[in-house]
Amino acid sequence: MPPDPIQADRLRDQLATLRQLRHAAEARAAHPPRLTTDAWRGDAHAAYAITADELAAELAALAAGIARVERLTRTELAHALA
Amino acid sequence: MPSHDPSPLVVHAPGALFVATDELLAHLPVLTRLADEVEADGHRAAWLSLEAPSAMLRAELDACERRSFELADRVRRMRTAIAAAELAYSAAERSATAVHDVVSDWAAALLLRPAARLLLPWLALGGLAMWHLAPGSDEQKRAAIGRWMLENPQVITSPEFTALVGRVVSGADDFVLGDPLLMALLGEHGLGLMGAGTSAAVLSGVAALAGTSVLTETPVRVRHVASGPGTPPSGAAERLRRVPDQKQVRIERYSAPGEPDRFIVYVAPTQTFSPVADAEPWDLTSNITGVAGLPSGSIRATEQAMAHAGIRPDSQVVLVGYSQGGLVADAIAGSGRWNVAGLETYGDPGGGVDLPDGIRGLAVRHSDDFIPATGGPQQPVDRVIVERRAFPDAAVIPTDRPAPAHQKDAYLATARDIDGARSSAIRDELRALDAFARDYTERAGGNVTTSEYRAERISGSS
Repeated sequence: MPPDPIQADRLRDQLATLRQLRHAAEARAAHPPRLTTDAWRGDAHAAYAITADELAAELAALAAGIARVERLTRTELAHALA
Repeated sequence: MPSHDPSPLVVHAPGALFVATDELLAHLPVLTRLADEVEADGHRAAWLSLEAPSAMLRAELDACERRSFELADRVRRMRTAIAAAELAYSAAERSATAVHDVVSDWAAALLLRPAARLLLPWLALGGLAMWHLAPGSDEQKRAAIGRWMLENPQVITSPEFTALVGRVVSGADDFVLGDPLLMALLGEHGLGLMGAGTSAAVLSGVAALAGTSVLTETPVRVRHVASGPGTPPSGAAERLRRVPDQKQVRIERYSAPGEPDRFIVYVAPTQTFSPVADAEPWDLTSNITGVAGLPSGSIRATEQAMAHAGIRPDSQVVLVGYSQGGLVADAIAGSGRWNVAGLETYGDPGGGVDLPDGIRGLAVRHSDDFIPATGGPQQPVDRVIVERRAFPDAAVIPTDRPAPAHQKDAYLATARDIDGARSSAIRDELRALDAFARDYTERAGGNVTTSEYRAERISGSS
């Protein structure tokens, strides 16, 4: 298949957007919203800590998903340029 | 400076449904922002999916979109859950306190009063006998009690002692009232017609009738002792540092071309705890008269200094006070005679002062400092109340000064943490208080003049 410059440009733009999305998602996954025990007056700290751990895992999974899309897009771009 | 880990700042924001720590309050907008950002990224993934060149890529992007929306939802639910948990805690705390208050009022009336009628005379006689039988002069005995209090600061440095003082103070006249039904109706926990203020007023009245100078108010006079150029304060700690330790009133005049002058008034703490009203107006007499809601010597002296400094009833003024200085600031703000734009107090017994609506600022107190409790229960205010324990359980309490949690350095440590607070409830008040002074000094021709005032009581012989 001959190279498709229009498709390649579109994929480059998508790749740039995906890179931004991945960086933002990785930053969020690296700093999940946690609270210290002292932040609580009641006894909800333990329950919130579990929820925050789960959320951290999901943020990391989202970042990984975006990274996968980025890899696939890079592959598509290589095909478009080939 | 305290050498232990600080306890969290607990924030009572006006109109808020729940009381929470600064950290938790600052966390809620963080979660809102996180949810919004994740959701926005989900929308971007959806846009990318529309232009995806292959089905596989589209499926992956759709999965990212779905996961983003689910995550945003989850974060919003977490935010709601935090608010609900704190709301439930605050409600349970309020209910428990209310029930405890009412039960202790009734118990005091039904059990303690009859018991006290029987026992108090004997206890008083016993105490008097012990005082006279103990070796040493009266001075030595007083010094021994003072030493014991210094060596055992934990006795008076705890939230439990503060609560006890609050109950004793607000229950004193209930106790005299005696009847459980009357107590429930008229006391602090009923209609609020009787309480710390009435107890203090009765004490002042009795002292005045006795005809001695003990706890008896006098006229006061004020001298302008120093003046000079100044700079605007920035932050709570700096304002508290400017509260004079001895010269009782410091007034900063802020001028800018074409604008009416503004003022910050700093009021000193108690200078003597002697019950005898001699030359010093910042004394125990002023504390008791002030808590009674009457014009104490220190309140009148501060108002005289304000008038001398050129503060008119319509001049904008911010009042800053520590300990008795806070009570004076509250009373002046509550008088309605001045145009108070802000009120910042530390460790003051002015919680019982009724303030007009709309007076913003900060009221800072330590839960293990019993002095604020001597003013009776906190009235509803539009200020942010910041509370923390100065010496948490693991802390070593200093033994070189009385009432360590009430000392200015303990409040300075708290004020520094307030300056580092992240919740908008505190930050908004700090911004407004800082801006009050800086707005003028940042203008061309803006300047600050500082004046200091010393006051004294005028006794019959002077």
